[in-house]
Amino acid sequence: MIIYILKSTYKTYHGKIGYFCLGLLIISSLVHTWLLGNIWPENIYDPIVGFDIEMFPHPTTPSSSHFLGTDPLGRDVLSMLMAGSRPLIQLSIFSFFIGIATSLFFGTTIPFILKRTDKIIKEVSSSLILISPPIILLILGTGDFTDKLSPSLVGIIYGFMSGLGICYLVVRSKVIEVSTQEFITASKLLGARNFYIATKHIMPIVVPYSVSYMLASTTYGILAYGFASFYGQVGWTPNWGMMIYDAITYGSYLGGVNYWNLLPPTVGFILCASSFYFLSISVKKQFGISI
Amino acid sequence: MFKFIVKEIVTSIISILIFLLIMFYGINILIPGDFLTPLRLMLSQAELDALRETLGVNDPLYQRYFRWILGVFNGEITTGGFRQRSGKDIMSTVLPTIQVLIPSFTLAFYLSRIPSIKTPISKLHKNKIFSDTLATLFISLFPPIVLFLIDEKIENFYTFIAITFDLEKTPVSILTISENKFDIILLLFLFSVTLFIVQSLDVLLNNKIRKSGFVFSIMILFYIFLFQNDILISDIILNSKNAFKTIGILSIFFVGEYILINNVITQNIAREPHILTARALGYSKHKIYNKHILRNSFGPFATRLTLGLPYTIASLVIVESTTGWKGMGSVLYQSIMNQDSNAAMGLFLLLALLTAILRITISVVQVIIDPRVRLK
Repeated sequence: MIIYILKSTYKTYHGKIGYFCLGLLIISSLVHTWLLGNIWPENIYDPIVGFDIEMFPHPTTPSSSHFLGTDPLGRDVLSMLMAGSRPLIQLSIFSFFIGIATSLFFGTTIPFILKRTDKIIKEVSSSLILISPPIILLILGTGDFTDKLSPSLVGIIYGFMSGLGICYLVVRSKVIEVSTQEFITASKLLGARNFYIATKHIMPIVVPYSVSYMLASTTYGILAYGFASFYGQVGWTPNWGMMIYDAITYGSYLGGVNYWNLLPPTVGFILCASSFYFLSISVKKQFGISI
Repeated sequence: MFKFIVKEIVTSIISILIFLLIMFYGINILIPGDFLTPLRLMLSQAELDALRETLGVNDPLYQRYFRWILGVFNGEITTGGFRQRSGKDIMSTVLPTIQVLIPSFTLAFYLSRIPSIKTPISKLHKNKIFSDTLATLFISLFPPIVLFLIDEKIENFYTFIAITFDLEKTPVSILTISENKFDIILLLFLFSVTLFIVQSLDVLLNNKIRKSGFVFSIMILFYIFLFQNDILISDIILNSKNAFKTIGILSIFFVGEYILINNVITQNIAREPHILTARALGYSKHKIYNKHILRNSFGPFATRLTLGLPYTIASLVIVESTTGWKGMGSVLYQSIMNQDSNAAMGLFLLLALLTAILRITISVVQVIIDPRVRLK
């Protein structure tokens, strides 16, 4: 079903743009690992502690050795840009798949099989949607978890929250609508078990809803992670939020913000967040989802 | 209708209580320290320990939660969280958020209609690649970057205004009116200016406008400029600087989302047979759009708006912290950073209440407008 959705979304313009942006980010992340291991010396091109002592003063403008220049702390901007895509891709993938798995499993089985439990879970979901991603990250980042707050962990937490929150509610409402249809009654009469009906007949219908909502939610997860990294809440991982903060803060001290420091992370954020949103629109358009 | 509203209120209360329970446990387990931690610079460790014992900070979490909830029902939003502030101070925490939220909603809602209005009816059912791309770009824009881009321009504009009209900022405490009244007048000013901008945009874009919007905004502005004193007016104008920065960024956040929702909804409605019939009968574009598409789009739009409320709160936290606007979002950010768990809980309660009120309002409006929902 997921492969069918991926194939059908590729047919739309939105899907093509989304896959292109996502592919670009994944490739840049892989190329960065290869470059750092084979071509770029780590002491100069490391995205966190790299420093080029042969060039001074930093930030320097784009040159042959630093295609996008260096930032106010002497690090290579291209290396930081490429490395910055990795945590966001990790976060997005974990969040997306965990959210889908959670929302589909609980969203189809509980409202259809455990109707009384559904009433409780619905209220829990309604309360979970009030907990927005930046707040979770702020709370986790304030405690002793900053160093343990890896992008994949954030993705898992965020995936659970979105999957059991907004996605559960959307899937649930569709499940309730589908469960009154004739083919469900027919399969019940033929002796099919509730779990079988929920997983084999209902789940395939609600998958596009879950996918489109999780893709859209992932966009907000990316922005929330960017916000948390901008305020230094996610520890020492290479990220675009930190690049923007450094460019604005240190840049201002050093006589003005340089656009070659500011534009790459901005474009990175746009590419990453929009890729998931484009895919979400594509799923909505292909499957006629209007909410 | 009454039964519906009561049901909505009851479910909202249950959701809020569960939400608060989750947040209470989350905050107290995950954030080191407690609501007395910010006092560590003023009191000794022994004094803090004694205070903790007196206030029952060392009690089990469930006891503290019930005590906190009882405190809320007794009218104390937080026992100590707002440092025993009065209800007025809670209003002064809520009002700044409403001051930026309502104009941002208005601006974003009006702007999001433009791509659909400007598309011929015969093409409404087709994909709108350009406006979709633009909208996604708006959503993906990182707020600090937007602030960086607009900050200097707004600062220059306000410096020009201040020099031209000789405006000076006066502390609110010196003004003869209360802080809340000042906040309400500022809210009216921001809303009317936004409404005026929106109506002017409609004129520029050659759309059919409703005169009532223009008249309403001008009447409010007349009320402020004619019946308030000069010091207050100059203060309101100068205070609106930061508010407009926040409104600008929030609107960009919202408008992207709303354009995409509108595009999907109008595309789906435009494919329906009744639109084809209306076109075949020779109805004007304006009539088809306003009478048949806009009205039918309200239901799905309202549903999506309700589902998107947590992201609205997320946007508030991000944008207010970025611009430094003293709304609930930035106060919440500060209280979490300062490990002030009680203040954070108070703000969570206020945010949850605000969300519930918005959700109920949207549902009630949906019931009033759409007879299908009413009959259901």
